[in-house]
Amino acid sequence: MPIAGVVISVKPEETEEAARLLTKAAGIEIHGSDSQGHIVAVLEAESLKAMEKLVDCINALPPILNVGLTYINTEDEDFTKSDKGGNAAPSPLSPGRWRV
Amino acid sequence: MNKTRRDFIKKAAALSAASCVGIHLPFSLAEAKKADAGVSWHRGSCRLCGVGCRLELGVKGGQPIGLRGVAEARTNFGYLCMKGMSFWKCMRHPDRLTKPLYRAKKTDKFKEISWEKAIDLAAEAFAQAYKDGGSSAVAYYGSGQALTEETYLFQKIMRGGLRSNNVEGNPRLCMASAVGGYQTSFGADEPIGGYADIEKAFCFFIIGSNTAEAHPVLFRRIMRRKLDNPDAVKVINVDPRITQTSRIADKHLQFKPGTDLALLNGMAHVILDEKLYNEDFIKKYTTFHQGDKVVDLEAYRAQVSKYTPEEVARLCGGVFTADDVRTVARWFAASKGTVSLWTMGLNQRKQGVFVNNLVHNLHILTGQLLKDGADSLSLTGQPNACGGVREAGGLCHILPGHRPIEKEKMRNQVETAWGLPLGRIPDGGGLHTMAMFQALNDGKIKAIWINCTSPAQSLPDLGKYEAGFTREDNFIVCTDIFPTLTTQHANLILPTAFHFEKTGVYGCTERRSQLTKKAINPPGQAKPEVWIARQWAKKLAEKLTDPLVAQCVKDFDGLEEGYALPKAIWDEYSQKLTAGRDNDLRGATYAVLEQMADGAQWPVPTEEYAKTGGTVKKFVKGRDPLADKESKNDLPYQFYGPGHEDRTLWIWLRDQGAPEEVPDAEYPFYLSTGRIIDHWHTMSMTGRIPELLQANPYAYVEINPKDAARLGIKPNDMVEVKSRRGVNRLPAKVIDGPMEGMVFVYWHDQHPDRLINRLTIDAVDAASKEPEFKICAVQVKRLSGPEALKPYLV
Repeated sequence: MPIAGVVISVKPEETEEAARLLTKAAGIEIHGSDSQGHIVAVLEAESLKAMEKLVDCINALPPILNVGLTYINTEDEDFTKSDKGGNAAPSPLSPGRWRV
Repeated sequence: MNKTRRDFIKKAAALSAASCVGIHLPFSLAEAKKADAGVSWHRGSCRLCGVGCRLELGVKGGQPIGLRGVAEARTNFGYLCMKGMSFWKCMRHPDRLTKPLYRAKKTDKFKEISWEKAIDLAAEAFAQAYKDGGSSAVAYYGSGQALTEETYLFQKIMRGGLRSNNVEGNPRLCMASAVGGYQTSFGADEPIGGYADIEKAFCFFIIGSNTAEAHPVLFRRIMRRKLDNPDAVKVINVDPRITQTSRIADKHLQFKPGTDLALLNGMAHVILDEKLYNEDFIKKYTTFHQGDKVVDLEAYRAQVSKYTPEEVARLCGGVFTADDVRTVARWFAASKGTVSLWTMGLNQRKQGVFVNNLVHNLHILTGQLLKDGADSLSLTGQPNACGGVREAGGLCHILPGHRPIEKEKMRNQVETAWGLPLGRIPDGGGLHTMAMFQALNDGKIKAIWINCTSPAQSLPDLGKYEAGFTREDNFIVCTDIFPTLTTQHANLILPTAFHFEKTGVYGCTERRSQLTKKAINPPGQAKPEVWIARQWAKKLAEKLTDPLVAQCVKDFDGLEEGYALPKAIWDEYSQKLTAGRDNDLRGATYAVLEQMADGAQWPVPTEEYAKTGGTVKKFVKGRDPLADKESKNDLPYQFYGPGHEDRTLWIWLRDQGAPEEVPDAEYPFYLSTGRIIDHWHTMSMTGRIPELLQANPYAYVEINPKDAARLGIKPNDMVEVKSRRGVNRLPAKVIDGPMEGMVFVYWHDQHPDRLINRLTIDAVDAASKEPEFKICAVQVKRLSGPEALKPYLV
C-alpha cells in the first residue's frame, strides 16, 4: 500500500473550501495549509494504480489547481512482474525477436 | 508493513510536502525519521525530462522502495511529477536486458554470450569496418540520456581512436536548432539565465511548448508565479494547439502551423512602431545582420515593416486579431521582466534556427535579457542533451568544450589534452543524424554503435530508413536497458546499468551540472557504458595494432566502474577540456557536486565558486567570473562566447519561410506530433510502468470538433491518418485542442499501426540539420467505429 506526500495548490481564497472537500474523501489526510493556497496532505491507496486514480480524482475537484508530489514509499509493492498489456504479435518491422 | 511503520512513513511523507512550502507541522522530525529504519536515501537527478529535478532514491535491502524530492534544490524545490515519481520502477522490471545477446544475421535468433565474447565481437566489427572502409565506415549514435562521462568517452574513442567524426546523438532531433539559435544570436550556446528568472518574471511568452505536460515541475513554478500575482503577471501562450499549458494563459494565440515567423516579426514591428524597444541597450550591445551583411536598425525596421498586425493575423490563419498581436507585443516589451520558453514547436522545423533567432530578436530589441526575471530560455527535452551532447562533443560538428570541429586550433587543443599527435582528429567528415542513417541505407557505414536511444522509432519518415537497419552487410551494436524497436535490428545487444546503478553527471536546461551516484547494483550482468566503452577500445587497439586507440583509455585502465572510472573521465573532461572555455567546469568536481543539493551552473572555474552554486546570469560582470575576466570595456555586460568575435548580440533579419510540406487538395490536414504527460520518448521505460501505461495505453489522433463533424468522426472511432510516406490507424480523440485543419498524434507508441514517425517528413533545417517533425500534410478519414486496442511494447 503506497503512501505519498503531496502539496495541493488552490486559489488562496478557496483553501478552506478545498480542505473541506478533501477531508471527505477516503485516503487523504490533511496535515496543514497556508494563506497562499498550499495544502499539505498524505495520500494512501491500495496500489499504485489506485494512487494514480486518487491523484486524478483530486485534480478533478473544481477548486484544485495542481497536486504536487514530493514523496512516495511503495516498499511493499512488487515491481518484478511484467504488465505490458498482453501484446503477443511480433512487430513486422523486424522478423527477429530479441528474446532467446 | 506494520501499523507503526506506516504511521512513521506517513509522517515522513507529510514532512516532505510541508518542507516544500514552509509549513510547520506539529510532530517531530525525529519521529518521522523512524520511517527511515533500514532505508538509505541516495541523492541524484530525475532520469526523464530536461528540467533536472533533484530527488532521493530510497533503498532497503538493496532494492529501491521509494523516492522523495529534494526541497533545497533550486530546480524543483522538492516537487516531482507523476512520471518522475515512477521512473525508478523500471529498475527491477523483468524485461531488463541482463546478458549480452548476439546473432550473426539479423534474421537469426539471439543467443546469450559472455561479455568477453561480446567485447571481442564489437571490436572485430568496428576494426574490420575501419580497415575496409576507413573512418567513414564507422559511426556512433548516442543520446541526451547518456551520462556526460559516457558521451565524452565514446566520442573520444571515435575521434581520437578511429579518427572518425561520425559522432552524433538524438539531440540532433530535438535541440540542434536551439544550439544554432543561441550561437548565431548570442555567440554562445545555452541560455544566459535560467529557472531563477521564473519567480521574478512579469511576462511569460510560451511558444511551441506544452510545458504543462512536457516539463510539469517547471510549469508548476510558472503557474505559482501567475497565481501569486494574477494581475501583475501575464502569460502568453502561442501554439497551433490548445493544451494544458493554455489553462493559465491570459492570451492564447492559435496560428496556422509554420507561420510563427510572421507573428514574431509582427511583434517586432509593433515594438518598433510604438517605440517600445530599448534604445540604449541596442546602441551598446547590438548589431544587425542579414545573411553575411551587417546592416542597421533602419534596415531591420524596413524588413519587419511588411509584418503589420493586420497582415500577420491574416497570414497566421485569422484565429487571432491584429489587436492581439499588439497586445502581446506590448506585454512582452513593457513588462519588468519577460521570460520566453520553447521546445520542439520551434526546434523541430525546417526554419528552426531562424525562428529561434526571431524569439531572441525580441529579447535583444527590448533588453529583456541579462536582468533578473528576463531570459530567452530554450527548454531541453532530455536530462543530458545539454551537459553531455552539446557540451562534451556529442555531435559531429563540435568537440568537447563547445569547440567547433573545423578550427585546427580547437582540434589541436583536444589532441594535446588526449596525448595524441597533432592532426589525429580529422577536420570534418562527420555525418549529421539524417545523413548518418542515409549512409547506413546506402551501405557506406558498416559498423554503428547505437547507445541509449531508439532511432528505429524516433527518426522521421521511418519507412525510408528501415533499409539501413535491416541490411545484412552492416553490424549494429545496441547498448540499452530494455528491448526497443532498434534492438530488434541489432547484431549485438549489450545490457547496460540504469540510472542510480552507475555514477555520472547530467547537465540540464539551465547550464546546471548535477551528479548521481550509484546506489544499487545493476541486474544480472548489466554494465555501465563507461566500462563497456573502455573494454571495447582496449580490444580495438589490439585488433588494429594501433597504440593510439589504447591511448584514449590508458588513463582509465583498471579503475572500478561504479565510481572511480566515471570520476577519472569527468576529471579529464572538466579539468582539461573545459578550462578556459565558456562552459568552464573545473570547479564542478565530484567532491563539490557531492556536497551540493543541486550541483552548479557553469561557468564555474574554481571549486570555491562552484560551492556558491555557480553562475546564475552569464555575461554579467560581478555575477559571472568569466565576464569579469574577459571584460574589454566599462560596460556591465560582456559577450565572450566563442561565436561572435565582435562581442555583440546579433539581431537577425529573417523573413517568414514555408514548411517543407503544407496541406493541399490531396493531403488537406496539417499533422503535428509531440509528447504527453504520462509517457516519455519511445515508451521503453514509461510503457513498463503500469499506472503510466494504463493512463495512456495507446496513441490517438486529436482532431478538432468541427473537422470531426465534417468528416463524420465520433470520439473513439478508428481513423486513418495518411501522409505521402506512411499510414497509421488510430482512435479519434475529438477535442478543441488542435486548430481546425490540423491533427495531433503523440509519438511514444511502438505499435506499427500507431508509429507516427512513419508519416513525418525528413526535411531538415539547412543550418541545424534538425528534421521538421512538427509539420507535414496528411489525409484523415473515418475507418470504423471504436475498436478494442491493446498497448504494445517490444
